[in-house]
Amino acid sequence: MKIQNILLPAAFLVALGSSSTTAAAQDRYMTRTGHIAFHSATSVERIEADNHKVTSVWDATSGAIEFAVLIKAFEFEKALMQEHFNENYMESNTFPKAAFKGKLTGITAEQVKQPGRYDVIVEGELTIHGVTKPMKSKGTVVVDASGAVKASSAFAVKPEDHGIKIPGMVRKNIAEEIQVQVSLDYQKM
Amino acid sequence: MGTRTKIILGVALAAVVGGLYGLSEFNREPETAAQKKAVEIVSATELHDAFLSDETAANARYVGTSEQAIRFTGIVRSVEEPYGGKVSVVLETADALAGIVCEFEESAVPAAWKVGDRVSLKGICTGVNDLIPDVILVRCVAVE
Repeated sequence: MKIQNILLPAAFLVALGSSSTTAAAQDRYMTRTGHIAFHSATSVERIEADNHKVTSVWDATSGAIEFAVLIKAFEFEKALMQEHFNENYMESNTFPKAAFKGKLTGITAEQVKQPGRYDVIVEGELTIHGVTKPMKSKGTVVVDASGAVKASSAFAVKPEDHGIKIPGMVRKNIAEEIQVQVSLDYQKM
Repeated sequence: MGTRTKIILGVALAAVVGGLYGLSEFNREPETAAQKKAVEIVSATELHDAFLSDETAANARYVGTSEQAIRFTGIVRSVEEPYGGKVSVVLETADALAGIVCEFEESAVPAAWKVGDRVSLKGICTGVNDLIPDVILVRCVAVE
């Protein structure tokens, strides 16, 4: 395991331990059950998958946001699609994870404490298949009356941008752009 | 029956069998852990420790290059709210934040399971996540 994978949780625990005394820690939110769904729709085939095990941490004060995804935790309706996704395209034994690291703007830490719907921008670097590319997308943060915080965004990813090779024989089966939807139900840290 | 007729029938039969096989392969659903023989039997704590100490080795052993099931026991830390027809059961580890996260079909979680119970289950291990180092298992089933 990489050192940062050990240090990051340790840092979060420190933040948890001091959450009653620092405003910054009170403005951190996390989830371990975030949802990412993607679909590719062509006239030949529709391909969909879901992953409900996305981890994410968002610091509403600084706007820093990250999420991490295990590629093998994507679930398909059909086994053959799942096998091709892991073995032929994502090469998940070599590149087992995807990640996003960036900033969420358009909402302040104070606004997160008030019920409302906020249009936001998320911008940063998206790493898929070992290839990191800049990504910018519109999103929404919804704070309900109970204080629950839900963030969502939708964007498109071109497989070729991340070094994912699709053989010509099946190119028509897979959309040029894969539509990705991210939904994160945050809990205060 | 002439040789030519036999050849045509043979080719037609092969095409039908091949087509049926292709169709069944295309529509095959992913297997749950119940349909797979467990390749490892460990405790939840051992499983988590293995990923924290050497992720590459743990991936090779518990995730494998193709899907495999492992059987393990542990203490229930939480049973999460259902989402999309699924439920996550989180098992205790030595880490206060991270756990063994076991995703079940909602109908497959034993109703009697509660926080603090020692439980046995089988699941397909997908690895350890970043940010919060949960070990994630999917298509889990309870084991008596």
